[in-house]
Amino acid sequence: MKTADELLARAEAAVRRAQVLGAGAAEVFIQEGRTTTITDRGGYVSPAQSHSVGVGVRVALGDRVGIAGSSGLHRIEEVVQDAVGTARTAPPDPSFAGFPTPRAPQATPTPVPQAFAEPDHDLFQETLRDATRCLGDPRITFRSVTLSTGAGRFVVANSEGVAAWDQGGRQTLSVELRASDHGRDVTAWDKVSRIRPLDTTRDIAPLIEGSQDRAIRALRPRPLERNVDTVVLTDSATGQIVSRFIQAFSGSLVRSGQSRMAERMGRQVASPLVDLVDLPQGADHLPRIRVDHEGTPTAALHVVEDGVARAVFHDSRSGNGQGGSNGRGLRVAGWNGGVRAAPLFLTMRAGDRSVDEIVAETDRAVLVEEPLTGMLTANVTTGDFSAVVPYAFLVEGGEVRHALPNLTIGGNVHEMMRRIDAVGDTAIERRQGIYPAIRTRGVSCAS
Amino acid sequence: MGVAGAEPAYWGDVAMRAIRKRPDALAHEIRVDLQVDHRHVLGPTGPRTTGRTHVAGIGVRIFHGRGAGYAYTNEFETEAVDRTVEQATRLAVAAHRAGAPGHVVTIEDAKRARYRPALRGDPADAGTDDVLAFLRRAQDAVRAAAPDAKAQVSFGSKRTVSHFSDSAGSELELGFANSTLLLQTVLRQNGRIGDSNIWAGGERGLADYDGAEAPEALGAEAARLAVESLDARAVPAGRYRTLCDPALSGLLAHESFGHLTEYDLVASGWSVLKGRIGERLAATGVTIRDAPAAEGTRDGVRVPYDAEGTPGRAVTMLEDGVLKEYLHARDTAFAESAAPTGNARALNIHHPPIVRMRNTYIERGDMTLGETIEAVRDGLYLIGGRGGAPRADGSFMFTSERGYRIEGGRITAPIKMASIYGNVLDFLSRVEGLSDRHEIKTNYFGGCGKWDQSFLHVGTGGPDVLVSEALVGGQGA
Repeated sequence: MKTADELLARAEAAVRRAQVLGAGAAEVFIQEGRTTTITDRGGYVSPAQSHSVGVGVRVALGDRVGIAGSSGLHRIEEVVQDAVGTARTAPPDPSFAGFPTPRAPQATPTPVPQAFAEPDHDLFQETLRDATRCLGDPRITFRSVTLSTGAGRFVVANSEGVAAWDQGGRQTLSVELRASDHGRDVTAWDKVSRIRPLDTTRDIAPLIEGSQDRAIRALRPRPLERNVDTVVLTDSATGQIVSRFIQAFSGSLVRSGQSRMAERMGRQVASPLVDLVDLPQGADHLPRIRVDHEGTPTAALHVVEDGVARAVFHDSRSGNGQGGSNGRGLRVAGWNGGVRAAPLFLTMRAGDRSVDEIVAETDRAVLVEEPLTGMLTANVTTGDFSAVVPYAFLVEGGEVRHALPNLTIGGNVHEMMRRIDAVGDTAIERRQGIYPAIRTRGVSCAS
Repeated sequence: MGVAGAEPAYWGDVAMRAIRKRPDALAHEIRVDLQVDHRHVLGPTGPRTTGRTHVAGIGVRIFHGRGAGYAYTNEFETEAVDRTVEQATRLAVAAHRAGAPGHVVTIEDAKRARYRPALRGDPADAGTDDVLAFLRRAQDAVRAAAPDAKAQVSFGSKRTVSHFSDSAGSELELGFANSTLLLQTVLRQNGRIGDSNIWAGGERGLADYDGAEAPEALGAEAARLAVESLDARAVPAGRYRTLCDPALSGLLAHESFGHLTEYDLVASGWSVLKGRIGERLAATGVTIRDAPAAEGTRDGVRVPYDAEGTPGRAVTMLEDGVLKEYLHARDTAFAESAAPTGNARALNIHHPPIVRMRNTYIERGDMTLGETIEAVRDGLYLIGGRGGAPRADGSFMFTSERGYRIEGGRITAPIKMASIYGNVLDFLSRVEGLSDRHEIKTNYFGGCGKWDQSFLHVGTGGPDVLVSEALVGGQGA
């Protein structure tokens, strides 16, 4: 890995080069990462190691903007030329208001443990052994186990300043379990990610035991006999619904006309139980995001307060004329994508009841503990969606009765957010956010 | 598309020399990829994104005993290549010593080939103004047909040159080209929202978009569909005689059936198709194939050799309703004592090859489209498809883009996007008819996701497929 200073020097040189070529303003983003991934998938062990550097360049000639990118630093001059050439022929962008001034955070970068940066097959074998020891039921086997360790950093420079951020190291264990009994197969999967080496007791055992428990409970399913309009979603599925709901708060979509959320500020857009805050850091075990990918410092942003819309995410472009960027300019598709206004780490406030208590006070509902499949098909404009889960559970009379196979859920994310009437007391990190369980109505479930 | 003044073959040689210096490397593959992506987005209020991205790198896979290790770098420097070879070797040796239950891979049969796509109006040579003018033609056509509509028009293209060499002496230089013209239209009228989402694409340059795929034609069609969708009604959930168009049937063939035939998934016990070769799984007349190209057209993707240097061939997974073959990369073929099928593909240089599909389709039948509609009598015609993750037991859920009610053997009213779900084996056993048209589509802006390699360009398609019954649920019902 190169040092942040080395990357900054290359970025600043590229900015100067763009100016020599005629750019009025230029921004150079460099991201570097190293990852080792080892997967055991039914006996097929695939180790892979990567070291990648990506460069994203944006230049402006007046209000004409050009974008170019490249893997590696060897083409950085050519990328700058590409961006300038593109800007020369690009039509004016009425939303462009210059690149924001990057400001370096006053903080010590997260140190990167050496073990995170080097391939380590022994560590994988040790982790696999630990995970296997946590399997407590003969009906359970692993379908796949993946351990990845990675570290990364990014720098951003423009003609006004520079910023660098070390994203630290991260270790992630993903497991896919299979429960088999009397010809029925159920798969459960989950993962845990930490900015420190994973610990057997704190991280691996809860991961395996939780997945195992869900898979075993799902081994005896019975179809749903009549439609249910109420669901209790645990953290993972809640995160998926909220993620789709929160898309409407992207300044980029507001500006393109795909969302009208800006007109709804100060109005009730969700249940009064819903409180959403976007944070630079979600939990102590996750890296803090001190600057966004445009170098704008980040701060907490209250997006929805007691169900009332309070703020829209803005990058420099979408924030033009709207108070400017609020530190949400992210290259969501990586260095080779454009900057979009998106949340950093969305946190939904926990409620006052456990999942068990919510279930106990529910007359009839479907309890969903697995991630929803198919949420990508949600219609951004209307919020309509259909999704499936491999299994869920029927709740009747305040008790979990039995598993339901292949459940399909249809609904509208905005309607679901409005009709939340219970929120769980424990929020868990999922999908770049922290979410509790919820109970909501107005959906259609079938199996 | 040279790299730092040198050709990919040069860097292949650098890696080859680094490997030969090592006594512990048995067999190896080297890939040098140069890839350029162009993306242009014209929003309703003006250009949103215009840009070009290069992805280039050198990937090395080393086989040692039963272990294999892959490493890559995108630093085109001799030292970086040496380091990459060292890392791949260490991974392979460690995997072998740890008792990796893989298979000893031998690489034989040197191959030599070159393929360069010939495009009319290569996007790589087009200026930004040319592409934006191309997009404006589509946007203007939308506005002309529906003045209140807001259209976002996007064009994406990928050009890749891949140099492949291996320890058997293979030398392949393979070009890949894929582009898409995408129109997303939203129309608000009297409190109602209509929309459409259509695209055309394949191995095409700008001038290859002509006829029904010309920007003007696509723009008019996008507007027509957005207007039509204002009157579309949700479908009450229920079981219907259903006709699935080529896009939806292709999605089903790929996601719900094709993935179940990928032998890495079969071997791990994940697939419901394990151990069922020779078994009847579908109605008579249903054949599903995966082919390296959409023969006779520039649709879909063209993969004449895979990322392990294996020549591509059409694989018939299901023939006349009977399961015939699985899809293989080299290591999975060794495990099953079968021959590789040319299905080892990598998303890009950042990843080692795994078993992937290319162009997956249901073989056409002999009914006209009109005859299939008539044969539905009362039911639904579902058009286009989104979503759908492969499931081990064959269960699926897709969402159509739009559709129509069929009443008395005739198309009547438009319907909103609807979800269709069920189990693929049950679905295929209910096939009553196949139309005689055959369309394969690909989309630069989407693709196939598998593990951490998303989204790989693939082709999917087939005919219109009539099933006696399908479970369909309306959105937001």
